[in-house]
Amino acid sequence: MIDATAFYDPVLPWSGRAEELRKQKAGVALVSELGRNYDTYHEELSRRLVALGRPRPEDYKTIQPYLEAWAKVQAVVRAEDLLRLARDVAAGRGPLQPSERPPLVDQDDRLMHVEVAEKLSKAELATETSP
Amino acid sequence: MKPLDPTHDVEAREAARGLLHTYAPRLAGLAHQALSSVVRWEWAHRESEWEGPDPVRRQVYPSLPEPRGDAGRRYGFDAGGVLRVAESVERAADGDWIPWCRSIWVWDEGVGSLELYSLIEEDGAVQRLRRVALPDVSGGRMVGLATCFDDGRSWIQRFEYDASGQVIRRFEFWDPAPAYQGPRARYDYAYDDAGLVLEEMVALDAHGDELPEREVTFRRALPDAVRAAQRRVASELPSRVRAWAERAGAQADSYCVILGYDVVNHALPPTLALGRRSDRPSGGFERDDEIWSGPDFATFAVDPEEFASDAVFMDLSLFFPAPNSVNSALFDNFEDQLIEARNRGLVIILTLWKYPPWMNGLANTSSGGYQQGSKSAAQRLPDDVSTTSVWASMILCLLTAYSTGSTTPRKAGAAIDVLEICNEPNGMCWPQSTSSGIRTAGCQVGQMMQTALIISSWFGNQATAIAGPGATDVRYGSANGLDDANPALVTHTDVVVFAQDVVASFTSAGFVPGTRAVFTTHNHHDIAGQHLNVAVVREQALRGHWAGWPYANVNDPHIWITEGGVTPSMLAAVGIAPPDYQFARSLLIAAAWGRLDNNSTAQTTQGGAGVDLFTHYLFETDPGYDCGLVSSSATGPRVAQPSYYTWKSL
Repeated sequence: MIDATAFYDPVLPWSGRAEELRKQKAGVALVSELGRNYDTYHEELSRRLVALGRPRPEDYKTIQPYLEAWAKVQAVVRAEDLLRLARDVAAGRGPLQPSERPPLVDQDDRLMHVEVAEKLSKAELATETSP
Repeated sequence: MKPLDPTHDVEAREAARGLLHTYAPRLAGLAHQALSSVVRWEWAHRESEWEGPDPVRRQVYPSLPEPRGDAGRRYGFDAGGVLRVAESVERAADGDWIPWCRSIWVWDEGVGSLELYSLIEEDGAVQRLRRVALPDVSGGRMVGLATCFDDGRSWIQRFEYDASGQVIRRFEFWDPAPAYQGPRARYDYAYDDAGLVLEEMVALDAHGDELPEREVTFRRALPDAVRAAQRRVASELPSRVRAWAERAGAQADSYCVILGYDVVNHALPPTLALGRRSDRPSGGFERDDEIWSGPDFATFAVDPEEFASDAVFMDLSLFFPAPNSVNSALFDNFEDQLIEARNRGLVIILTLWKYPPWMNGLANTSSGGYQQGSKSAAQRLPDDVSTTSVWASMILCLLTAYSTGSTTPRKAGAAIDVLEICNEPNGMCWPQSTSSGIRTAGCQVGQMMQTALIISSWFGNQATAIAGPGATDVRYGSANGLDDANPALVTHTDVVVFAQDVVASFTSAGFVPGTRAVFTTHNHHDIAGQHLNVAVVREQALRGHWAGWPYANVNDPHIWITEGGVTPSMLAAVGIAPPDYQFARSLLIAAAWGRLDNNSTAQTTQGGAGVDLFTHYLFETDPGYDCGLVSSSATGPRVAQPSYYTWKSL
């Protein structure tokens, strides 16, 4: 069981059909749409994150635009987290505990595709547990 | 010694039973009479509430201020100093104290007293009389106590004393006992020179003969854990003495190192002082083996002020009562403290806790959910902790005001060095999980730390360090604290699991903590239980994942302990009884330090590697939280406790 209202937050950068469903507050349909079309929405979020880049203080004259830029980055990362949750729901899986979840962002500040992240997590786990 | 008189005890029991019934209808009048006679109220200390004043003696009960919280226990005395009323109270919305249970004492001069215990309805009416206790007083000492409950149970206890006034024997008479009205159990007491009490219970059969069943209790015995701590401290003493002498800078006129053992309890870790001839008082004491009191010679003179307030707590619900509004009086006072601390050269850690409704989202909640179990609305973690959230605006406000790199400080000289963004979020805060048991609090706190680090980075090279999570060091094994009503709901999160979740939120977001991110935890339970869970946090949660202060190296993560110390309730949980509080506290603090001190000769493991800060909460005891090194100024002169000297000698 998940809280569909988390997906309604207007700061989340949904697009296309998902954005329409969000405006309608059609929670079940929204989660279903996101879960069944992970690749599409992941690509859109990835493009947004690349466009935003990592905000740096030296690029801003005052702090408010700096913080607003960071809030957009945080919203994209949060959206990817929810997108993966919707994918799990669509596949009939329950949500994972925080420390079990594959990473969302790589070392180059790019969103990771969930399947790539899962492989990376398994490889790291194997390294940590090997004698 | 009063001889046992079964007839008398039967009469006493019947008297108590009769009083239970005859006084019940008159209870309201008696309560009114007792309450009217009260001329002063005294508050019980939360930690010692069970003790309370002795109802059979006129006495001066220690004066404590009203508790800050929403519950307490108070005692009412009449003009003659006699206890008349005891009440458990709760604070109403308007600030008044409302009693929910009350005992009153009706005194029958020369015979004894009657204790009437009753529950109070919300409107102040007496619900019913629950218990009557009829003490039998002789020579100012209680020699018997007949107790009757409204469910029909009753029993009598009789006490025998030796010439010094110590109880040497106690008999218990049970009810019902239709055939035999004599005692059914006897307790014999023995004391050693150190005050250790041995209580041996002997069960008696229906004829008064002894049964094989026996039970021995050491009332003040030290548990094995404390004995182990005592041995550890003793084994470390030589290295401590050498280290102390080196730190004191022993010079030519130094002629002794003084071990200041406690005159009452020689098992306490001694305070250490360096004796110098130039420090000697004039006249007398010319020989080196004539030593005056240790503190008079101490190079490190006892000065309780020296440790004052280097960690400051800020209750956000009081400082920021409304959006875009601050409590100026509180801020002014707080900033004066910051300036004073900085003038003393102290490094300041500001710890934030509690959240007003406008900050944590509850102000926008339309239905329920204003508290979880015993956790209040102000303990709810904010929903939105992004960089443009109202919570972030508060962080920005504080960092703008108090960063050493700020160009617009609120008050010159009022600056902090470290901002710890929350306090024990794995225990105090809610929610810890979703209703289906997926943990959320660790990730939320990790996100809060990231947002605070982003804001702090605006201040450049003089950015304030951001610390967290300041978790309470409770272990729940593989599981977490769960709610009885909803077994899936997590109410408290294991300190290691919580640390892993905080770290996971950084790793998942690709956010490198950096050298200004300080990982913090508390070690109250490590001290009381003689664990080293702080090392477990470092190894199982941080190593390989946390690139924070001071080297940003995942293979060498460091950790600060921002709270420590033990309360009587923590000591009680490990089996240490009240008379040994201060003694045990001293030993356990020293032992905890020993477990972290990698230079100690007694230390066989590197338990303290990477632990860069060891603190004690509090310096001065709070009347509502007995964890201080110095007694509370609210209850009288500030007096350094044995644990203070232990702390000082570390």
